[in-house]
Amino acid sequence: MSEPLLRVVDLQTWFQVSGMTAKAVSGVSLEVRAGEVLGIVGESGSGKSVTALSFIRLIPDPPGRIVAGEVWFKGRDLLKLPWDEVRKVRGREIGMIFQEPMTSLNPVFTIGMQVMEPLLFHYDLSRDEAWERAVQALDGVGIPDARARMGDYPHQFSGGMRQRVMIAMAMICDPAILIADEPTTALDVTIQAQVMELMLDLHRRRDGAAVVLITHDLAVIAETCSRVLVMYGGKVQEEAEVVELFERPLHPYTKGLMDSIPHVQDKGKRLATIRGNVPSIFDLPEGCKFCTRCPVVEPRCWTEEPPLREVAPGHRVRCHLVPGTPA
Amino acid sequence: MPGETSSHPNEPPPGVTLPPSREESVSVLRRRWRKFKTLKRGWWSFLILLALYLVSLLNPLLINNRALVVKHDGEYYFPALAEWTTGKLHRAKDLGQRLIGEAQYRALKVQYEKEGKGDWVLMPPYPYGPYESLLEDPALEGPPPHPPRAGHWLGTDDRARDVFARLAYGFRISITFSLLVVLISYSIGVSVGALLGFFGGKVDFLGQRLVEIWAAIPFLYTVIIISAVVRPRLVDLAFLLGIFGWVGLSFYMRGEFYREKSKDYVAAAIAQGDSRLSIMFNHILPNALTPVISFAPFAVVGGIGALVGLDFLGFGLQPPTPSWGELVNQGKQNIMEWHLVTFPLGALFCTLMLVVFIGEAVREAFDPKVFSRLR
Amino acid sequence: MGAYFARRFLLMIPTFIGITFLVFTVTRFVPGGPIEQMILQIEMGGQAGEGGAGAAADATTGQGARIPPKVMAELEKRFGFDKPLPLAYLSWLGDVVTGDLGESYKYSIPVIRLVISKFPVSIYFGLIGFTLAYLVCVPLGVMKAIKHGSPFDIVSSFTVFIGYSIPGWALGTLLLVYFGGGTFLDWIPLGGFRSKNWAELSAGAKVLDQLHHTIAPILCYAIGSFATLTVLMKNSLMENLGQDYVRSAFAKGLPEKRVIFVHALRNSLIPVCTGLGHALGLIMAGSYLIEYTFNIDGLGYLGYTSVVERDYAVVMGVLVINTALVLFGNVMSDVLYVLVDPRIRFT
Repeated sequence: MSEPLLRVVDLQTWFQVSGMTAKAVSGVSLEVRAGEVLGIVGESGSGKSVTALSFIRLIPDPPGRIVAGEVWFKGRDLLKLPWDEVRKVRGREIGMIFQEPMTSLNPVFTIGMQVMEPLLFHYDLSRDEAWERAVQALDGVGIPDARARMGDYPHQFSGGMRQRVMIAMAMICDPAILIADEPTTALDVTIQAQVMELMLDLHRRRDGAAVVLITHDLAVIAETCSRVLVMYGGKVQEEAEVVELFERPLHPYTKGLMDSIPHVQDKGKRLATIRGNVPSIFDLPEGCKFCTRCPVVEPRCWTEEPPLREVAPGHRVRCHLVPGTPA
Repeated sequence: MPGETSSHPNEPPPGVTLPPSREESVSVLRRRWRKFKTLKRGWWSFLILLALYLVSLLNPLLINNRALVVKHDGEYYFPALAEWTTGKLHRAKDLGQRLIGEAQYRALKVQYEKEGKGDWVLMPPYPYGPYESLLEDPALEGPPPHPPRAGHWLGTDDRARDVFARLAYGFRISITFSLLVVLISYSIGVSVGALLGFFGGKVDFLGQRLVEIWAAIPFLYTVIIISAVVRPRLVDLAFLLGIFGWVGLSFYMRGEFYREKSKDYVAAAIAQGDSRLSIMFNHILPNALTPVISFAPFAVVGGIGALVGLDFLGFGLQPPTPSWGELVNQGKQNIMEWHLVTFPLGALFCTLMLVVFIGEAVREAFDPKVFSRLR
Repeated sequence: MGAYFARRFLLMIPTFIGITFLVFTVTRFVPGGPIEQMILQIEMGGQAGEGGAGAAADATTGQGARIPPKVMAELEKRFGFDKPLPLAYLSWLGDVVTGDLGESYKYSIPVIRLVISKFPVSIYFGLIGFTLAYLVCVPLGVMKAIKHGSPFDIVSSFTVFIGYSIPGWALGTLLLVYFGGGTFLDWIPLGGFRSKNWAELSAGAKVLDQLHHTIAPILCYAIGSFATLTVLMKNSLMENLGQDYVRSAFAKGLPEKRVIFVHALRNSLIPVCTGLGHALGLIMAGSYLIEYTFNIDGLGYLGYTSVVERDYAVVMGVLVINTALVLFGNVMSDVLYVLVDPRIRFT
């Protein structure tokens, strides 16, 4: 396998809230490979968003802090770069789309200005050239009458249209990696599919670029991703190719997630759920993070955290009970 | 998740303890109070101001030209207490003093000591009153106002009244007054805001228009005009300021009610068939009130400032009420008398400062500003 | 939008009527009203009005008998006392609408002329004071927000709170006593707008004289809005720095300066700007307390003296102007809102 685009080693991102420490991300390692769509799935509070934000150090400090880890991108550790260098990576090499299209655009500036802004700061372009590129980008994400709408303000767009603008803005510099943090969660169901399709379409047209898709929705993962990371309690619990994961889920948590997807053929049966609630991020158990809710919990799970083991090629899992070739 | 109530359905095996849950089950108000106590500057300001106010309530026994105890002809008299509680004054001749009208206790004390008949007078620690003119006092030479000197720590004003005594009594009046103003304006503001926010619709629309009209009244000038013609007592003036001071609060309260109204617990209360009024008072009000409390100290600052300012202009409380603003105005009329300006304004400044520190801490405890900083 | 402002202006009418009717009524039913004042003036040969509020009103009771009934009737007619209250109010209002605010009995000139003559002085001090406050507070608030929690923030917060604990007029009297040529230093004049010998001064001396009379009052004007404005600016910027769009701007790779000073600052100036509208009303109305402190002959001082002297036509005139200014300030603030916030479209 060729060198990955982005390699994260043992990332730790903690938050200090009124004297307590929340280890939102505690020891995540992963790779983002050229051309793939990597899905990161988990419940809210599992650390999936914080992980992705940490790639480009978009962690508000205070209260958050990237305590340890390495994020290797194009031969450099982004966590050790000076801020000016990190800012050259953001937007230009790694683009980002957020969950809330309603609040993620600046309400007092025109769409055109906001979309062309990355070009002006990353490239030596004249305003006219940047303007033209922005019109093309908006056209490319399906904004009707893009040229005329450059002077409009965000509140004049619908939620779906704003997310299209966000996509245009994130991709205008043609970044190698696009991080999409729950990009469709806040949208109407009918719009969700359109926006997702648009994102993947743009992705397919570009060679060697990768998308990191963060979602809590396994159905979205199944349709769009090539590889999946399942996160729980600030840690990667399972990692596999998408087909492998859906055919042979190993971690009890992954199984629980899959069982809670409704299927038409199960109509009338009671939908399975995972027992209990996500434990507070301040009160994570010492052993396996899932032990408080796991249906097959054993005594050692409470005290001893299982390591992330490779049980099949490309399939890693963090569970004591999964048999497999010890590494 | 139907049927699940505990967040830990799996019981840990013996010998393994889960980390203790750190989310405390104390009420929000208790928690905020605790937080307030940890903010030292505000907490100490609160204690100091509270202590000063409590002491000032005993002013008649501490700072007074009437004696605490008089022993005359084998009988005991308590003139300060009697005047304070019943308004009764002792005549001079009843105490063996050759004077018409009320007894002069400082002179009486000297007289008894000269006579040596075993009669005695116990004066308060600071034996001058706020209303008493010391023009006849032989210890003070020259025309008033007198600058500070031994016995009269802060000097006297233009009618030869002791400045320290007037400041001390003025403190009590200022605090009482502003608390009253806050009470009145909060009652009106909270009720109006709550009504508009809770009922919404036409009530809200009409009410809002009326509130806008009220808010457009040039309030200081109107207060001055009314005050000039009705000669208000303390309660009247507090009421006058109170009925002009509630508008901002009502807007805030209205917004809070709108927000709280849409929350689940209110829907649940309505579903249970609670009456509208009880929903308002038992469910929404406590939640909506908490942020509003953090404005209160600043409203107290406004109340004190308004009273002293009106007194300064001559449209505040009626003379001869002990008043800081009136003293400052005397000083403004005669700028040679620095003590008439410096001491009352010093008292005003220290008082406002204490309240501001309290306010800062209350705000920090009740409505902490989140600071998050990206780079 | 046009409809909104039309409605806004229409709403000003009931507001205006409500306020003036309230005060009109109060001034009719109280002792020491215009008639008594007039009587006193006639009897004392025009000496009334100098004794302050208390003395003037006390001296008038029970002296009406010495005035001939004919004069009395004429006086009553002049002040509209011969009509029932609503009619008197309506006729007064009718005059106001035509721009006639009556005549000051003290100065014997039309109130409207009196009021207009006081405007420039009030505006001069008010405008400089507010400008100074904004010039200091906006950058200070921005610095405090960016350096939240730093020693600079803590020390400046302390300073701001101290400023909040000193009312402007209080600072004014302190300045007068300590720097106004009393027992201590003689650095500032005792007030007024200019020196008495202004006309004889050379151009350079005029500038100096004006500055000399300006500095102390301006400080007092500025300190009044110093704390609130600084804290408003700081909180507004801090709130905006935590917004999602700031994160988006950083995610685009913009420099920190661009994100803070263009993206966040532009938004956080919105509440500060709209406050300017209200400030405009206040600037023109002058400040009773500060104008009184420094004997500045502006609108506020006119309002004060007219109440003291029971010059009712002027009291009502100043009230009319003040109300109009408050309402004007409210509308201005809405206009500014529309100008600075593209989301706001009043309908």
